[in-house]
Amino acid sequence: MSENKDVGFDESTLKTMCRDLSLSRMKTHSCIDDIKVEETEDFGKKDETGQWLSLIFVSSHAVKLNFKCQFYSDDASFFTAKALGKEHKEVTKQNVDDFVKEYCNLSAGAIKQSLEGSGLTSLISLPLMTRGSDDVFFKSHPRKDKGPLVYSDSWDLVHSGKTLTCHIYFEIYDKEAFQKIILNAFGADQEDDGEIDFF
Amino acid sequence: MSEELDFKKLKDEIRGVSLRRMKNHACDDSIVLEEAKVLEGEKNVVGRWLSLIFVSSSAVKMSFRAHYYTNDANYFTSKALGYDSVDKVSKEQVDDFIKEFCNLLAGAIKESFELGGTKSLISLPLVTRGQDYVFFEVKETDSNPQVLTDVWNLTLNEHTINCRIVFEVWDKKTMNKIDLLAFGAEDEDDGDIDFF
Repeated sequence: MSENKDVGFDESTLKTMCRDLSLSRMKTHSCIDDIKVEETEDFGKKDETGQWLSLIFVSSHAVKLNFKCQFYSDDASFFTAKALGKEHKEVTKQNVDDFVKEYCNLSAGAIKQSLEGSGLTSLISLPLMTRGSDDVFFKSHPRKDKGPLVYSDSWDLVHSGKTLTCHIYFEIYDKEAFQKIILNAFGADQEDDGEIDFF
Repeated sequence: MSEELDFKKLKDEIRGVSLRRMKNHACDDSIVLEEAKVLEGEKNVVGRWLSLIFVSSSAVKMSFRAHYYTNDANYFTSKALGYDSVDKVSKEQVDDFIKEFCNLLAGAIKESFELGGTKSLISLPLVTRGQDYVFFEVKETDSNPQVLTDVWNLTLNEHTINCRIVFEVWDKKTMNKIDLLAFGAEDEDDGDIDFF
């Protein structure tokens, strides 16, 4: 998933952490227990027409990241209806926007918490909502030179055939500090009981 | 076309088109363009809002941001809507007014790219809180990419909207083809804005 060969950190730990984090937040937020994580098709190759995109940014001196949730209205309405205890047809566009933006806020907030736990001060943006095809404006431009270390991952959260696609993108400017985050926040926990148990 | 891009001229053209389009959009000819100091760090961003829009091609990425306090944007919006009091203006109307202004300016820049032969994409305009500018900051650099920035104010009776534009130039040759004449096109015919 990393675009650089010399990643210098445990990618699988980071991948598991991000996916587990997004899943646990969605389970709590939507009040649905049996949501599954599935591999997504290439995030950038999905048909973005008719899709919506919510995104949020976290930034520190060592790492910048954005977390995106891309969805069709019908799928997100399903999750929103469950969260609100309403019928699917009763859910408004505003309900859906608020639900997905809050989900992004919860997921990115947990990552921010992990950064802070490792002593890094970070900032978090408000979640934004725009059309799915605008994803292109939040991607970094392909570079010929090395640029910052980059890690990205995409996955689907699926329940009853309804899907929300998640994407996370890290730009790492201080590899040592980032390694420390991975070890402190995510490695130590797993050593205790095999589970990631905070956020 | 093969000459280096005259960035000073580009800045002047963009400032000019922003002023003309804001005058039309707010229905007030007395709006003036003023120099602005470096935007961030010198002003308190707490309480401010930010509207932003992107234009992107393989050669260049552009972001345009309008920073404003609600009170100032209310004033501009009330003029546009023909209200006699800013108290009648809703937050939604202000957001729509500013987003449309961003759309008008970015549309002109997209047009200048297209007339120079560069296809580009334009985003929807977004509104968020002022302090979130940090997530869209691009440091000025000379290469890989070359980053060009400009900051200015549009002022109406002491109410100000602060504008900032950033170009990330990944292909100078293509950027040099940008058609500066496109920015004046709306003035040539009849004084009306008849595209975008």
